[in-house]
Amino acid sequence: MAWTLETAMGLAPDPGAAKAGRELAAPRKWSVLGARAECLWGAVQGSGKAPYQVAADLTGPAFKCTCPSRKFPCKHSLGLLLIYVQQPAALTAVEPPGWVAEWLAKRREKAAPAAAPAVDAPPDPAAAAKAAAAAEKRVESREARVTRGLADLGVWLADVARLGLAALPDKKAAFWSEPAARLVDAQAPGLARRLGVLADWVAGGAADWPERLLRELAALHLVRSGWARRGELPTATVADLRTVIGFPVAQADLLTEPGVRDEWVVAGQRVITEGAVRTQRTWLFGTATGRAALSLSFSAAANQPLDLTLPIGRRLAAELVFYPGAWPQRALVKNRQDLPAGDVPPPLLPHPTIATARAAAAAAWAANPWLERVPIGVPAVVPTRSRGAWGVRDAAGHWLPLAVAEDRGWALLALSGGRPLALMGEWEQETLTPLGAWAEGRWVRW
Amino acid sequence: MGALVNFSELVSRALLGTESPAAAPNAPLPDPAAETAPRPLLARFTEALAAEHPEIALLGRAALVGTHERVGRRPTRSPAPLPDPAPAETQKLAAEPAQALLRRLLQGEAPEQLPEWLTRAARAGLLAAPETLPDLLARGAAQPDWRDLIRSALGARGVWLAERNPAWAWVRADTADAGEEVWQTGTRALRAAWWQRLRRQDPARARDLLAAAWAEEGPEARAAFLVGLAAGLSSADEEFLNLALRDKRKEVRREAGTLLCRLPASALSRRAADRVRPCVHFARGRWEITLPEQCDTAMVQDGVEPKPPAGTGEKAWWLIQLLEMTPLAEWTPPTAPDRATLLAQARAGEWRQELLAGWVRAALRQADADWAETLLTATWADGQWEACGGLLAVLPPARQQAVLLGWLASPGPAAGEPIARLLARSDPAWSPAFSARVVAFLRTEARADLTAWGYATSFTDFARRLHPAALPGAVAGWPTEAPGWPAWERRLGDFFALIEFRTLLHATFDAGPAPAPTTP
Repeated sequence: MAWTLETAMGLAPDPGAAKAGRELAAPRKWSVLGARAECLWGAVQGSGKAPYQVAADLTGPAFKCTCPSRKFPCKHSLGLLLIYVQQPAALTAVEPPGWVAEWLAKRREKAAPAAAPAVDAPPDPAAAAKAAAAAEKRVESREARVTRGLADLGVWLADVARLGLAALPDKKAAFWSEPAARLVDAQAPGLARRLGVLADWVAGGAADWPERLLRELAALHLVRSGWARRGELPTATVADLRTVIGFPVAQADLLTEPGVRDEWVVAGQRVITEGAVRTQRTWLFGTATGRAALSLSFSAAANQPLDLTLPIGRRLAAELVFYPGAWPQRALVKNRQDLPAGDVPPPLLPHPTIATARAAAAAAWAANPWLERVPIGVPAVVPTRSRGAWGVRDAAGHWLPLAVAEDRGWALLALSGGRPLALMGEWEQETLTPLGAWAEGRWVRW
Repeated sequence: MGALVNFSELVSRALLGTESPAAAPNAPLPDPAAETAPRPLLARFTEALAAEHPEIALLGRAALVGTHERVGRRPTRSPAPLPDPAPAETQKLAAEPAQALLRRLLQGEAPEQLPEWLTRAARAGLLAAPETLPDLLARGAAQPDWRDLIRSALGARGVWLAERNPAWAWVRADTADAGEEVWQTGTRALRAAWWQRLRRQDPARARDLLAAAWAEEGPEARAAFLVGLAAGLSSADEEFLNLALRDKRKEVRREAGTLLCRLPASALSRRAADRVRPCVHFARGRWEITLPEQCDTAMVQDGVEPKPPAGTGEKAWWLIQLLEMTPLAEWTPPTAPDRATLLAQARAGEWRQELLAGWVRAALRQADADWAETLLTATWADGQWEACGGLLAVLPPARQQAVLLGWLASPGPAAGEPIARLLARSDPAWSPAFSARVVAFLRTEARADLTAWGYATSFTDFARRLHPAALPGAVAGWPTEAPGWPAWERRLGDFFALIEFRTLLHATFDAGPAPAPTTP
């Protein structure tokens, strides 16, 4: 992939590491700097006696450093990467030292089986049967736990409905955290998360909090009643239920399913932080199929970088395997081949007009009422401002209100120059949060 | 609970809770027949909930009606008309690596270097990317000094954008083609910017406009306008300045006096010279002083402050002020010895303090570079660092650097710190040779293990002033083996970081436009 300053800085686990990395991005501070193919290495004096040995494998990316920092990548790794991005000529050495070559070889070896799953010898049938039985038992016990957890949730929901939402602002933190914790115990992390944020909505005191809250309580209620009747529901809806509850899906299994082949373009990306977890949402649109796909990447700790292989504007020929559901949205990328950056063609976004975008959003929610947001990609809209609020309008005169900060709205208007631009965003709470814009031949991350 | 309701109605009920009588199942509900659009499917599902507990029914109906309303909503019509499109751009955008640097600058990294980026872009005729324009326009609103540079990076798009936001009216207001209506109706900042531009182009017209509006200007605006009048000052301004010299406000009088002092032929200058002549004589190679006996009303009206500061005698104070206002040319008629001789003899005499103080003030107030340069030798030798700083500021950059070079060559035992402080305040346009000399000076200080912490905060001021050609050489050759080096290195962190940022900035522009992307 082509590294830019932004993608490199995107790796920084926290602002402190970003600043320290930037300070180390000075060739002067390094006694050794080298690069060969997709590998970088260097030596930099730290507080220790011997210089730290740093190496980076850009294909991962992966980093190795002899410093004791627990952050990953550490500031030395970041500094090395930044030198590569900003002053590649400074990486003068061409022969990687032995330890770098060794580390690389080990990495390649480890990566090989993952890239092409090896065909193992058939397992011993008796052991396999035993394992299958154990797995089934685990499944059963998890379903039973979820059932109990949802019964608990039902009681809590009924309490809220009886008490009235107006009583909620006076509730103590435990009123929210206890049922959320019980849902975690019941192995329903998806619901725990959705319930966990409600306290903030109430405390936030936005004018529409009762409406938002009732919507979300109703969605939780639908999970409870849907789960109880899961035997009668279509498979796809049950899959949606399982997703919203938080049942894991084995990615390895999913990857064996056939995917949707298309030329995909990365049209928007957003990273949100909830507690210690960073979630990166990347939206792709299929140019031939018009399908929208969501690629998720999580980072639970500072030493876990987010997926950097899908920067905005990237075009790839790939197969996308969608997670099952009535309105499949989340997907895994496989058999991917990146297409040349070259001249970026005007993006083919799936919703030619605002009216069709709204219709697609309606179809999505009709199929899966638990969706928290749906993607909208419109190829030709003009940013406009009305009574202090930003929005976009299309040729038919329809309007989508935008959820943008004042200055970012102006920046969007600047990018458009008053002419139509292509815009990708997440539609949520009757507003569009722009994530990517295309104008005059280039994509801009929003 | 079979009747249909809107989601907002369900919200009202949910707020009260199902135990509230107002929200009870038997509470009156709207008549289903009143529905404008029948919703038979929804009605059927709602019926099915009737048998449930009230709270379950409420949540179930919220889910049903909420989803139903969400998916049934039609797109609204745009309340705003389409903007007129921006005119086509005739200049190119700076290449992506340069834009990345601009984003870093706008995000607060090395913010003082923004003019440097803009200068390089302007020289190459390149523009800032459209999405950075709001940030740039906001900087321009806050930093009038940067406006010309910022304007050159805005392009047609930026001007178009600025027209849409009153906060960015500066873009049009202080350009030459802005009409006089800015002067009549603009905000204070816009009027000042517009007027200042006019003053540079047509000094007489600017003065006449100001004179016509003078009575209506507030006192602070008056003082600010007078400062701006220094540009293009001529004897044609004297009449107006004489009026301002009688202003109610002291700052205005002081500013008017300063400008009149810069006009040696002005009535004020001549009055001051007439008053000082009986007091100060140069004869037979020495200065003879007779202190003024009184400070009369006329003197006070001309700006002489009757009360001396602590430690100065009353009459000496009057003399110093008269010297300040007397044209310096008074002391160097064609027949008299040169300035250096006059000064040397003054320093040798009894009244050295008064004469020197008066002349230093005069050089500053009259912005006389020749006298300032001569006086600097005296103030430097006497260790009057504060006066040195002021006098240096009167000199144009090249002469400033010549003086500083002389001091750097033989700084004297304890003068490292004063030099460094003066360097940090000097005009930022350092020449390549001067830049290299300053870096050499710092290296020497580091090698001598002097604890330079008195001016460590100035290190970034040096890094900012180095000529681009001197940047690559500034990171090498430091005495890394010197015992005090670790302490120096810690304090030089920001110095090196800024040098590296600037090096990168210039290298990025030197590289020219990025090559067209190639297919791998």
